[in-house]
Amino acid sequence: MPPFQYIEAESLDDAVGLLAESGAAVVGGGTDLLPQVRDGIVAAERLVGLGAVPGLAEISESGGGLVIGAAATIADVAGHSGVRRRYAALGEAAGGLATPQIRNAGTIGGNLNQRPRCWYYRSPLIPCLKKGGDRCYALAGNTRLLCVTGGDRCYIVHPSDTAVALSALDARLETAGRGGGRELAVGDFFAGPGRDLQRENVLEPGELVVRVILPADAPERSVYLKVRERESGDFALVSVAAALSFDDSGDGGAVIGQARVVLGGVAPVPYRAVEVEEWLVGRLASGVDPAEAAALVLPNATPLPQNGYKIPMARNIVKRALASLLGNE
Amino acid sequence: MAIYSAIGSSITRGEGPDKVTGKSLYAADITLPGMLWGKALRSPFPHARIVSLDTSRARAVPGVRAVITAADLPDSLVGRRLRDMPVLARGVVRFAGEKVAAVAADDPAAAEEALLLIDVEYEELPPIFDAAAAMSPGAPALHPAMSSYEGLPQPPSGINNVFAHITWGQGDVAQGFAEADLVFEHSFNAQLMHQAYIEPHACLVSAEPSGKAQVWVNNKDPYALREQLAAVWGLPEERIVLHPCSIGGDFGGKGSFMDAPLCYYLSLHSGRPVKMVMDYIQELMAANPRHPAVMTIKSGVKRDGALVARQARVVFDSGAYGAFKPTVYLRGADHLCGVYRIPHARIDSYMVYTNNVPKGHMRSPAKPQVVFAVESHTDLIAREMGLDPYEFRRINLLRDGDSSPVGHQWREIRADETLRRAAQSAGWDTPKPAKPGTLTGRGLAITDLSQGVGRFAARVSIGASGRPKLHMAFWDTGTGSHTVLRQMVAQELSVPVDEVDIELLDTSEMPFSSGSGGTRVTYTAGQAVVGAARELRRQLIRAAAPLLDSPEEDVSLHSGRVVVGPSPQRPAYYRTIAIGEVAAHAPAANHGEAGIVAEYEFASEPPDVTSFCAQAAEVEIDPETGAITVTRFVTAHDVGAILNPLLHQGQVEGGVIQGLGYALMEELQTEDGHISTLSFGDYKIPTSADIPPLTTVLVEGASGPAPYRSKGIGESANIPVAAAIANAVTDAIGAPITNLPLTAEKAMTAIKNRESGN
Ligand SMILES: Cc1cc2nc3c(=O)[nH]c(=O)nc-3n(C[C@H](O)[C@H](O)[C@H](O)COP(=O)(O)OP(=O)(O)OC[C@H]3O[C@@H](n4cnc5c(N)ncnc54)[C@H](O)[C@@H]3O)c2cc1C
Repeated sequence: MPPFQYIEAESLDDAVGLLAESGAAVVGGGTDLLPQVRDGIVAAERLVGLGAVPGLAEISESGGGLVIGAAATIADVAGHSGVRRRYAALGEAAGGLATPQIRNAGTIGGNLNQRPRCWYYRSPLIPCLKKGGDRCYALAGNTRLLCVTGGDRCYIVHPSDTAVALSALDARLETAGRGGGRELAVGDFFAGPGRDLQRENVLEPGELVVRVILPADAPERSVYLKVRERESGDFALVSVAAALSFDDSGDGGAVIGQARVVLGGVAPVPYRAVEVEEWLVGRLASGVDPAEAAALVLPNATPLPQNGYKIPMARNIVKRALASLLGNE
Repeated sequence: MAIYSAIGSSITRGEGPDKVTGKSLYAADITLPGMLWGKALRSPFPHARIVSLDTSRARAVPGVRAVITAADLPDSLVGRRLRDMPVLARGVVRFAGEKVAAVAADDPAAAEEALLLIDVEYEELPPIFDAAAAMSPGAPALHPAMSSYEGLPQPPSGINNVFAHITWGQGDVAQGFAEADLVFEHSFNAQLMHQAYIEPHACLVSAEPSGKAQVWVNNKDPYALREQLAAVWGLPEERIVLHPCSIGGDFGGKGSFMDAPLCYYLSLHSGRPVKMVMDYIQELMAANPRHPAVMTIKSGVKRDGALVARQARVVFDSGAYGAFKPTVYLRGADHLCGVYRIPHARIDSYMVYTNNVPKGHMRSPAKPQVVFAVESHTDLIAREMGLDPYEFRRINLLRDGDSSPVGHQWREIRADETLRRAAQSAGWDTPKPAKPGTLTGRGLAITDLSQGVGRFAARVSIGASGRPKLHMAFWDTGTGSHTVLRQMVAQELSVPVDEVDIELLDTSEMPFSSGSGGTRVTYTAGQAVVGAARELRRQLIRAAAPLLDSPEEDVSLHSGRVVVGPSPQRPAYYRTIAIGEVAAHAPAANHGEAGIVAEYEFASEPPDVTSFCAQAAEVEIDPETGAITVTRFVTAHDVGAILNPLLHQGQVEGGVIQGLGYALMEELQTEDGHISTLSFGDYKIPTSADIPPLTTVLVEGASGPAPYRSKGIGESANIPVAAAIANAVTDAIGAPITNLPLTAEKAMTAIKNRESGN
């Protein structure tokens, strides 16, 4: 393990200042970062922790919604009563990811910013494109776990479960950096390899995520489903977060107001199934056939040689997620 | 009858508290004054010629004390039996991860830095990764000098890259197929699996100026390793001393020499003790995992379901070398015809060189692979014939008086009873649970495992403290064997188990003993320990008789005392003396202290009984995601006396869980000879959330060859698991999956193919 320094920032300004220097990286629980430092995939001489910055490890009510500090642990998010009540998809995503140990140590900021699991990226022996290398080794190799859409020279899937749920819940992220802070929708935060091969989001160097904001008007019903190879400590083969809100149709029925259907495990970013969302909006809830909606998922997918199975898998779990939200199982 | 009944009690592990409090010393914990750290440079290519190797820049790194390549070593090969592996690659590398150079430095960082500065020029050679393809005449011959290697089981058969072609069988297969009404043939694939022990390989070697080598290594077979090291180092065995250390998990993987031969040369060249510890990337990339296998079985059956002929073939991918196999081939391949009465049977097993990682032993070597094949084949025949797989098995199972397909003749064949108990406990004759939207299935599998043999030397002593001590040079790999051996001493000397101590000696202090493995320990080590304890008991009684003023035949042991009770001659006579006091009267024996010592050596014979294990699995498959959930699992074992129910059950449960990982998820993925699953995030072993409710059925009453008529239990539970689950999956889907592991993705494909009628 290369030696490094660990500093706990005392304030946000302090953190921003410390991160402005080269060789510095922000660290949450270190569950993703430290193995990469150990294996020489990420070079970091100074790790800056946020846990001591006032408020950043907390989850609080605000304006009818919730604000989650970036240093709040995944276990705290999963166990928070407000999250479970109002933002079920997030609670389910957080409560079921990784292992109890990782949920206790890992933070929401770290989870959203964790690096891809593609084993060509993770192997210290392979100089893949994402690490500034010469090519994607996965294309000629094993593509079973890679994306079926959105790849561009690099074919990772984004590994975060909470990102998928937050996207469906219309959450926003607040950042801080040298040039001040900004607030952006989760959907605008993540960015695929077409934009930057070496990063998975739009953060500038030295910029960090400070808070996650869950809006008061997020769709009221949501669910998170995930297919994986083992019951604990495993990333999604495919996952879905679906969120619906309902309006009164005027004659006693319910009409779908907002609809968000977001997939994990299929693309380099949380993937919004907009075709399904558009199809759902305005329909009478009782008249929706989940299978018909799910058939619209991933219309333009371009699976790699070994991952075509993800497409029927994705359609099947979207169908199941909608059925459970609509009560039409 | 002894008052303390040590045998049969659930005694917890003696070393447990030290392990959980961090007191136990593992090889990586040992330090010597002046010790350096050793690191190896590994080949990035699966097959290449080494054009040039320049270590000058590495030598200049501050803190570096030695940099060595093959040019610095004697031209000698190493192996557990087959000596085909160079300590450092000489002129050619044959797998990605092969060691080509090594550094010893003051600290690990300096050694790592030096590795990066070793300049190697390679010229890539055409590699071969597929074992079957490697056998074809046109494939590159990876070991042109094969016939000159020491340790081949027989002269090479002449098939390209095959270094062991072993056959088993009986009868005349051609005649058998001529008698058959129906013939079935199926092929199966089993994957590359890692043992996933917690503790990586580690060693510390000190090449002393006196010419002696002191070695600490987490190898479970110290005397065998000493022979291997003596052969490659060119030292007499007496000059090599292997010291005891704790072993953090084995599962068959800790029998290979790994870095120990190399570490000695680093020590020799630096003049300092050197420690090498593998990290988990190296472990997953280049240790000694379980062999992948490609298997084809053809069976001839009578219309009534009786098997008449079976022809089976297995090709094992040995990888670049055969050096990590103690028998060169895998004996367990003799299970490829199953536990059935088949008059005409033949097995051909091929051990093939490829440019993949070299394979070694893993828990019941070859058996999980071949039993997956033969037990899946058994179900597929039953399905195709419209027979119940349970009934089909019962028609053909071995019974008393039968000879196994490879000619074993056992007494007390309890195959049918063991299978019946498993089926009964799984509710085989009740309807399968129906759950809307899911596919459910049940499957059975059965195998046998007879205990391995070996030699063992044990010494038991007793001094004035009265606490018996067991001395041996035998390390517990984490199975609890030390605890069971202490129970035996306690039983024979009628003292409580916690009064029996163990003193682990180094290899210079005891005669040869076989290490842990092959379900041999309770049998072989057990008989030696019981032998030594009984001898000590005789000596105690002999020494006590005059002190008690009684003839020896009136004297016995009770509760840690030597006792003389009333006899017809002396009706009111009762005297006792503590065993420690008897020992205190004895002349100096052990390290100059007063006491009594007894030593016993035992060489075991292949037992005339085997042990059956039958399992039943129930699965639920989500047809929309392919997710396979094992909802229920039954494991039934043909056992003798149970010496320690807690440890016995530990082996059963651990075996089932390891088998479940093999069945459902564990696979070292390789691409062109490179392992891609280089962490435990990618190489998935089951978590507690994946474990189904487990029912263990002990079919007691057999008489095993181990002390107190017991049988070993270390391996059998992990053997049929994959087959039982695969058969349940086939039952659920209505179509088989013939390659392990059984993933969601394969289940989806099988469901799709069945629906589209392929
Ligand atoms: C075996 C295993 C299984 C797993 N399974 C899952 C799973 O199923 N689903 C899932 O979602 N995850 C899974 N994970 C990943 C795990 O959830 C992450 O490791 C964890 O969430 C990271 O949180 P952390 O606080 O430890 O991050 P760290 O390791 O501290 O940081 C991770 C990255 O984020 C950056 N970072 C941290 N905080 C911030 C911030 N505030 N702003 C900007 N960047 C920041 C760091 O610089 C680093 O690059 C698994 C991990 C393992 C090892």
